[in-house]
Amino acid sequence: MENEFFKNRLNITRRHFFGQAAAGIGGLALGSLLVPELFKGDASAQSLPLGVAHFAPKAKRVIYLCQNGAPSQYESFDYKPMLNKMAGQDLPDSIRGTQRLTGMTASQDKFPLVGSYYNFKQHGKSGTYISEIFPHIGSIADDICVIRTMSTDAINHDPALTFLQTGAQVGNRPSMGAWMSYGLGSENKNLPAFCVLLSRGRGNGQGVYSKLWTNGFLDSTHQGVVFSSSEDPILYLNDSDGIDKAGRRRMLDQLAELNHEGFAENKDPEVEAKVQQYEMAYRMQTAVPELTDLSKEPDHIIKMYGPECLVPGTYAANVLLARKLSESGVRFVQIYHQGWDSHGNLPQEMAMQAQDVDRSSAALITDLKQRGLLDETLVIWGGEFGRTNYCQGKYTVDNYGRDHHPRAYSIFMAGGGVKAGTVYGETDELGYNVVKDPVHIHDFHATVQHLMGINHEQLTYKHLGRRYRLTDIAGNVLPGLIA
Amino acid sequence: MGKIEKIGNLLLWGLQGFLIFLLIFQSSFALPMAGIGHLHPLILHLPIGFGVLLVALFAIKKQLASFEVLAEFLLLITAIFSTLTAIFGLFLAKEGGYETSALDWHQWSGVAVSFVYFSWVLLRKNLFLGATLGFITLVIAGHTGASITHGEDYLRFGEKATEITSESVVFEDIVQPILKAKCESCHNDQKSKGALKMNSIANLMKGGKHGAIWKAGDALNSHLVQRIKLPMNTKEHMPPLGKAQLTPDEITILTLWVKEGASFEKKLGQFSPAFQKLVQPTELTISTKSYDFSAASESTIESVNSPYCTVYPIANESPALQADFYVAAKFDPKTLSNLSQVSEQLVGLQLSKMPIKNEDLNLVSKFTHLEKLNLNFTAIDDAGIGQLAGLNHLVQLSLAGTKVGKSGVAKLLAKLPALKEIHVWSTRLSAGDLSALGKQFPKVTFDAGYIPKEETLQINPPILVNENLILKPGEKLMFKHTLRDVLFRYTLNDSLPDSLQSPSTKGSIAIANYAKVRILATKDGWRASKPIDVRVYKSQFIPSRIDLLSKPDPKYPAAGGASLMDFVIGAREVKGVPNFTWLGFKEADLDVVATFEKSTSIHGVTLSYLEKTDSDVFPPVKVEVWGGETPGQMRLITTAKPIQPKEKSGYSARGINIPIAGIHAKYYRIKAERLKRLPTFVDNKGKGAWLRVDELLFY
Repeated sequence: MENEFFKNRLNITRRHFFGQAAAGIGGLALGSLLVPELFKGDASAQSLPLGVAHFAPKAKRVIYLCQNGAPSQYESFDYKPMLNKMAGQDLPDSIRGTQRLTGMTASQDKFPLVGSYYNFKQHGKSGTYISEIFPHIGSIADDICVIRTMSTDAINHDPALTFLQTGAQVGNRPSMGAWMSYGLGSENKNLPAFCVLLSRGRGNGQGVYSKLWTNGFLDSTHQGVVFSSSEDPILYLNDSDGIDKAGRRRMLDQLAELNHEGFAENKDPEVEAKVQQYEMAYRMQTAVPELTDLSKEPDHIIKMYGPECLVPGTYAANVLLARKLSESGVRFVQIYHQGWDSHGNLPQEMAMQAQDVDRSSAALITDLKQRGLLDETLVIWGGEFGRTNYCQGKYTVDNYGRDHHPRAYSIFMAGGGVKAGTVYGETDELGYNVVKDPVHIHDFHATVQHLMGINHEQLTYKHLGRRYRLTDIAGNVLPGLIA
Repeated sequence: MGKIEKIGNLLLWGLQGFLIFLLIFQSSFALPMAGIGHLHPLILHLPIGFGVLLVALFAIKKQLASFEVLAEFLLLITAIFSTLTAIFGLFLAKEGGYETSALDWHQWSGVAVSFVYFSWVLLRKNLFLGATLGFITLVIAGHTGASITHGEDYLRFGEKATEITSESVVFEDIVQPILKAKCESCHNDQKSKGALKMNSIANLMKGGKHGAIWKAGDALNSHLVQRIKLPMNTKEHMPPLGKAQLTPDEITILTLWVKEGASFEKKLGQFSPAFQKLVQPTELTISTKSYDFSAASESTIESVNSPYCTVYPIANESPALQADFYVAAKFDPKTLSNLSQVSEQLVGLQLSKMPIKNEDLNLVSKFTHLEKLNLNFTAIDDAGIGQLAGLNHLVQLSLAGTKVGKSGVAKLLAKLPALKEIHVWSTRLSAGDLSALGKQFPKVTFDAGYIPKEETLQINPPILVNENLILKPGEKLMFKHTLRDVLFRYTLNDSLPDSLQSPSTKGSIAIANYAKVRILATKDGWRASKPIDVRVYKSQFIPSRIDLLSKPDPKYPAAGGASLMDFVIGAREVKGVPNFTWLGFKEADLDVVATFEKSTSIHGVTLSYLEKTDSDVFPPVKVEVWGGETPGQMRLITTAKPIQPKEKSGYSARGINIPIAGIHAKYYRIKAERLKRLPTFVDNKGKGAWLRVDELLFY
């Protein structure tokens, strides 16, 4: 299927042809005048073949547990006892520097520091500090790599999340999953290479939108497929009443014939893409019931993820489904869990959110490990930015809020060639600035692609006259993260 | 002498005069236009260039037709620019901040340069001597100048690029070179901005005009760290705008060095791992494993691929292949045997959950280069896995969820020399077997899987299966659960179900008439779920028709009598959307006749109605059931009085069962009387209430 699909690239659309012809002839003449070497060819500029890793990958698949809304690093993975000591004091200007603030706290006349309401404990052989509201993640501390120095350019949810997912703050670039699908192809031809699962927690929520899992300018086959939060994760999979398997097959064959005729005439690659999508949907009718049937999961697996994993649409259920999709060769499973945007009432909201995700997130890693899949599956847990070390709104000992903070925040990764049982990067005593080993979003993307066997500078797509990549024109692979 | 030369000579005389004037009176008055001194570093490279060119010109003297003209002209230009440079230099020196002795040397050597060139412009003889002498003074002036801006020993070449090891003294080998490169040019013996010299340990300890520049162990309160971390555009930021800036890594090194004690003696090995990693960063390496077998042809790879088996090279230009099987229902043994075409190239095989049997392993054993083999949840056991012996490259083997036991695994492992990891949970291996195997094969990691903690979790509630809660004759109420072996406990009398005592079912409940079912899920090893409530209606006998004798309110006509037997449950109202599921009465009472095909003996009647007192919708006050064999001969059988609400309440659809004993009838007439005076707890007290009915069911 992939082969046929990529053959389409050899065909050009009519619009494409006229566009090229007009600009092309003049351009050729001018180009050859200015740069005589232009048409001699440059081997290094050729991009690598699609559908195969550029070099032997550490990870074949990604499960991205995106904690939408920005969980606070101070109540999770960045232990800052100094904040508790200095609680109530103003954030020093030398620390804050030129950091811009959101409209929500910019007008505050004081920035009282606030320490974590929750205690921290060291876990595992690595002695990683993890907050008490994440006991299960604590129990697998030796399997994860905590990054404390993520930093991003955006300060509000929409651009930050878009940046995190697509490498640009404006919403027209392909998502990480789409790039993976484009670069590496599909492992299981009976399922989409890029699946998206949504859930909502009990904290203050922020929206998710389809631009986060868009194929952008890539072909629509690379778009993230959103699963339903209902009992049937994929709707309309069963044949309608009165249509049997053979009838469905005949219908698809006839339709494909018509579509091929159409393609012969208009040469639009999207037509062929559509035929392939129909074929995949047909095979999904067999593949998906095996996936969504939870009755075959042993009891101890259910207990591991927690009984919520049986309630469709919950985070736990999505994480279990993500494991099954990934196990079945889905290249990129993207989960979004909403509710981390604690501008106020943070201690309570954070505890509820942690309760929703702690057990199942840890279970996923343990479960992949015991199946022999963790070494080839990269699990990422984290949000779009962090939260401020000072209080938003009124500060009391057991109730406070935190605003958005893009300079330094924490995430963790596991499996897929990541250095397990380590903490990467360091923030200052007040957690505001990166002191050591910054991980910019572009670096993060470059590193994730590297783990997947992709040279982030060579997976490109030419669009509107220039080559694009997930890391745009930046990004360094960070060897310190790689085992 | 041409016109240009004349002008040049005049200019030179003027400049020389000005220079001598400045030299004589420089200490006795302040110079205006202090900023002009900044042109010194800009212009000083010109006389250097011209001076060098002048010497070089002699090398090609013979090839030049008019050497004299060229050389004299060049000499004039050199003299002009060296004089200009000296003048700007004097202005710059006036700005201060320079160590006097070094400055004196530079000043006089610079002036000497301009004098030498000026003298030879006048002499116009022995040009070669003049050029050479000028060049020598240029070198001296250049070096003394560079010593001021770049530090005295900037010219010391071949300084060993110290290799950093854990024995390196951090200050000497890491910190000092940074200070030297980025700070010393303004903080040295010759030039000490802010009264701070950073060129020796003693000077660093002394600090500047604000005192000590760091507080050992307290980076945040150290002057040095604060200044280098200030935003670029602040005046106090160091190094100043325009000078070579510290890199983020250098900032971190200085910060951590202060934080970790600002020691001058400590060795790298004594610093934190974070610091060590920072100065000895890991290199990015891409390890490419090479294989000594050749790649399969593209057509072969294509031929072994199928929609349910993906075979692909592990990386671009690698001969090694990985094969993944998916969708157990579509597993085709032929696809597996097909793989023998690439038996040499396969390094990974994923067969988990596929219907693989012992005999299939014979084929798998032919894939001699396998490194990773996943056989989780397949139908293999001890009798089959022995065939895998001889997979000398196998590193990882997954056998979870199979029936393998201790003897089979032990025998196999003895013959898998490269094995590092084996997954064996949910197999016949006991904890004892595992520890014995662990001792026997110390190099192998045994993954026994997740062992649940001793905690009892609450199971999730039952899931209702029925889509329509008005059950037809013969239909049962059905529940399911996502876990197996779940027992449901329920009550029909509005009491909380007991997880041990209440009636139980595996899923179906026979319902006699309208009931509120409260049900929970139970399972061994789990706490009972929260109960869920379901109101269910039941019809045992369906009349052939129902006719209205009274007129419904025009706002809620529904479909007349037929809507009382349409088996569509009443829906909540949406503002602005007409609702045809409820039959409503405001000005009249409900009066209907249900006609059966033949005389029917029933056990009772269920009338379903809406209670929503905040919208004046109340239950009927009285319901009468009449019956008879002809429409004219009906008599009152029974009367029921639904419970009236006592307080304001929201939407609640419910029913009332009205039992009847021992009656045969073909016609049943039901009259439901609406509430005439609303009680005091609603806003419209005293007015008439709404009566809304949904279904009329016979059981």
